[in-house]
Amino acid sequence: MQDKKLNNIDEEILDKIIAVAYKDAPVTDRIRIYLLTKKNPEVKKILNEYRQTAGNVKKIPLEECPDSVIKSLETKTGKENKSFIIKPAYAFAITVLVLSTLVFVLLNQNKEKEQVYSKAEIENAELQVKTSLAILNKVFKKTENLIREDILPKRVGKPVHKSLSIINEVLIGG
Amino acid sequence: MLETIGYKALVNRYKNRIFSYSIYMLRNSMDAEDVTQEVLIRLWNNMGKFKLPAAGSWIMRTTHNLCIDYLRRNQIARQRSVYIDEDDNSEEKIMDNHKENQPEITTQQNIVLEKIKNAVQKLPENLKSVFVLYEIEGFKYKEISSVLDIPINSVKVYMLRARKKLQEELKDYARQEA
Amino acid sequence: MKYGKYLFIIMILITFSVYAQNEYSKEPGYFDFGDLTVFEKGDGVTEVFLESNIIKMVASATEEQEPELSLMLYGLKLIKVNVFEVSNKNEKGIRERIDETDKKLVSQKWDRIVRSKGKDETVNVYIKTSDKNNILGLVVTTVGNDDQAVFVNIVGNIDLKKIGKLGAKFDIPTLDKISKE
Repeated sequence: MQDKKLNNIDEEILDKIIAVAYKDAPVTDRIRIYLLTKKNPEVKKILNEYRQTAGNVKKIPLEECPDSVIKSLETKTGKENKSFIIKPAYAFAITVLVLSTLVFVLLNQNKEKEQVYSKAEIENAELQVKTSLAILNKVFKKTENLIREDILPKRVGKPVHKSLSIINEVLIGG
Repeated sequence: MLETIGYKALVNRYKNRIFSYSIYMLRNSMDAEDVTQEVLIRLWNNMGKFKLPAAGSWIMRTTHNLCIDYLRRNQIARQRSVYIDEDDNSEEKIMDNHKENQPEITTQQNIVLEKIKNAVQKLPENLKSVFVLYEIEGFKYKEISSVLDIPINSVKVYMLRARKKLQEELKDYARQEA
Repeated sequence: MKYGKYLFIIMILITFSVYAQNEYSKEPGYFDFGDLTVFEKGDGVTEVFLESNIIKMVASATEEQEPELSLMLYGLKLIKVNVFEVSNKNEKGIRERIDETDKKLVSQKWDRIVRSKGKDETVNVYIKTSDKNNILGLVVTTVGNDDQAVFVNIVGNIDLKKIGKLGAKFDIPTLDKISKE
């Protein structure tokens, strides 16, 4: 306690000095210690000692790993690489590819098989075909009337000519 | 192929960090080389089992754990290191083995650095690991907490103690030299 | 184990996508009008949806009695017709859909061979042709003063002449009679 009093530096201040020296301290502590250095030469001395050590510590380089370690490593990982055990990610990718091909082929095979329809279904479909054609015919007729009565008197143009020739060909039977 | 590229990148990035950490912890370049090789082999075997941003923590955690295994296994080696502690010349020999890569160490700066390195090596294991990871390897407190599996507050406390201890060691050096 | 989950999901997606892609949807003459069920308000709704399999069956069934129809049908892959009763509720939506359809078809390089907009009547006819000027698709959209809206898409090798002739044949007054008038 007396020592501390002599130095006027308690553990808390010392910790802050160390943090400031190693550049870990928050701004408030840096300001506080800086102000203390003005008042207390001991603080300044301790700060400078730690700063010097911190400066040297920062200069310590990483130790270089010997090349022999890496070279022997290449041999060991190279041998393992040659194993026929497929890594999970590759196995997954191959499985997806094989299965998707299988599914595609199977589904396409199924599509190629002729579906069996009942007589009633075919008759119904025939009726639907005829209905569709009749609807189309009605539309073409409507169009021909529109062109003749509404549009032709107002303008003549390439599209109209083209439409007319198609309509004529289609409806009148060219 | 992507995995190989990723692996090579990680090796290039971390090989020196692994080796540095090992040599500080084990105080023996041969054991440090063994640990480095073992870590890199394990890295190869485990590529894809962790996300790349977490690779650094994984690598250093593995390095730390292997170093601890080596230290526990080689009790005699640890005792020998104590003996070496008492013998200044032997300390220099440990680093000398590794000086093959750094032949020209004559400047005052390098002498100072060597002294600091030796002082770091003398730190207790728990303080040394934090100090080396932070000051020399450049890891952040959060990363160190993950690597050593200790709370972040403990990392900060150990860091403070390590710095104090280091300062005391260097003062002892200065006194001895005087 | 984690791959198993992804594998299952991918397999489901592949299966659905294969099912979803029917033969006709890949045809250049195919056009998707979108969801037309929203216009099915009234009673007068007609829907025809015939894919190539059933069309071939009809073609086969009509070979002897109606060879012209049969021959025409063999070339088709899809006949899709939707007819709706137009009311105050759906007229606006139908007209908007017809306009949207027009824009899409034009952007997809369909030839608009008829576009007639009368007072209350709109008729649009589009064809999709191949490099050799064969007609691969036909789209018709119309909304008119007969309170009906029609959406038609026919896919396949189309002979418009034959379609017109056959349409005229099936109980619809022929144009000959009208033109003479």
